[in-house]
Amino acid sequence: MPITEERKQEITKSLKHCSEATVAAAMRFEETRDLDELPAIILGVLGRDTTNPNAEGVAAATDESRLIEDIGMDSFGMIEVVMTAEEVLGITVANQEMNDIRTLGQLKAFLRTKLAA
Amino acid sequence: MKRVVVTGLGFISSIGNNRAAVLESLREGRSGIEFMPELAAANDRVKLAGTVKGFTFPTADPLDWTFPPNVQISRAQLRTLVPNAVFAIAAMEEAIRDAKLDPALVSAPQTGLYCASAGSAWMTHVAIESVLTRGPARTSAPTVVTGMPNSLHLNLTAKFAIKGASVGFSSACASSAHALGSACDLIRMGRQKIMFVVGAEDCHPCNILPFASLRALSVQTDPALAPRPFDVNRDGFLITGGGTALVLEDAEHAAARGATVYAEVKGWGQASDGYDVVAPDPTGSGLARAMTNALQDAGLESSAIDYINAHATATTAGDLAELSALKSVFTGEAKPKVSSTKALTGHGLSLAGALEAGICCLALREGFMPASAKIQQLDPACEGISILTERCDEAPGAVMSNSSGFGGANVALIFSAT
Repeated sequence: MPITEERKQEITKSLKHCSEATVAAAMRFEETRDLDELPAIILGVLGRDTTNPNAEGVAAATDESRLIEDIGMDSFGMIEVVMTAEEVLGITVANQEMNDIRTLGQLKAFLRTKLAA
Repeated sequence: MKRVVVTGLGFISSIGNNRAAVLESLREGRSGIEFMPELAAANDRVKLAGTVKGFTFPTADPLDWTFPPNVQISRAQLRTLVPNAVFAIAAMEEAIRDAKLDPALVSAPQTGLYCASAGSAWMTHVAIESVLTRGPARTSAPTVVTGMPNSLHLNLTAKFAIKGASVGFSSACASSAHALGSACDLIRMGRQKIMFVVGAEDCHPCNILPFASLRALSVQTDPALAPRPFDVNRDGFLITGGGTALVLEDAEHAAARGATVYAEVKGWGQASDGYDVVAPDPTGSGLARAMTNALQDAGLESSAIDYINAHATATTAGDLAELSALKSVFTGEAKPKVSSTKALTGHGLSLAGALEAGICCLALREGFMPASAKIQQLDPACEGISILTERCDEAPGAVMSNSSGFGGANVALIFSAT
């Protein structure tokens, strides 16, 4: 189904300061619900919200990378990521659901499970 | 009791974004007041303000803000900032460089920070509006911090890794003078070696317009004519934002590390009017007692004061109360010279005490007394008070800086040349 102009604006606003590639991936996901678009969206949002001054640290992250210690997320950054995921992916995340997510791989798997449900 | 000296200064102000620029503006009588388009667009009365140049805050998203190139704030730090904290960080960094404090001395158990701002009314408004209209789940988490009245305090202590005493002061327009006096006391008692004293305020319609509702602000459209403290045709004050940082230090500690000293903090005093929520006691009795307390604390006769940086904002009630207070305290033959630098800077609210303390330190170090600018016709009520309508190039030996806030809070600070 084509994306409405209003929804396009919502997604663009949620992804403010993210790269064009991240926004494009989110638009494709909105249209196709193709879960393979997720990694690009997640990495784009983490890159925006990390406190890690080395942006390459996010691009080079593997599924084993720890969100806080390796990627440089902090408490505010994680909350921003959750809020953006809710807005862009159309899901609702409960506070306690985030507690066990430590690595990038766990975050990806969590979102895939959420979206598949 | 230990002696306290000032070893560093930093300014982001309407009259300059560093010490040298502020000094030049004070010497040349250059005003920082100008037409403020976003203020004029937001109301039909007040058009002027003491704007801070070189910074823009086009939206409430800190990533959209712009600063002069020498102000370095990381993206992570920006998330929790409010405009007044941005000004304060820039001023702190200048003061730290000026005092030649290495990072270990900034972040030491013997180094504290007392600061003052009224919070960012704008960012508080944005935060509350968002949680009420978009809901908490759609509101950015840092708005908890940016919406707090002490957002300056918690941002500065984190940014500079302050390990000693830290408090945010809130006593309206006397706030940062209270912060300075209290910081001085901590060092005198030996509880801290170094205290940063910081005052900072936004310059935004959200923190300006409530004063227009009170009809306290000048409606002049010509920046050369407002604000005009001590002028018979004064019509109210104009607001300014920015940040000022002072480094107060135990004199022995400063001497041991070879620090350059601007001035000694000789003493301070405070007293309250006990009179009204906003109006000053017309007799100026509260401010008079604050000045007398400060003189007693400094161990000085009133005749020892060469220059007074008056609180005088250019409201009729405030100026007259201060004139009355000055007449009751300075009764001797030798009269101090008096000026209000708010004519140049605008009124910095919680920032004012620190800004004017910084100005007094520059005056002591550079050996001059700044003029009370923009006076067309001196108010006859000034008779007997030596208002400086021109800059005076005599070097003052001891100076006093007055601050009065709503609620009738008064503070007088005394500095001397060393």
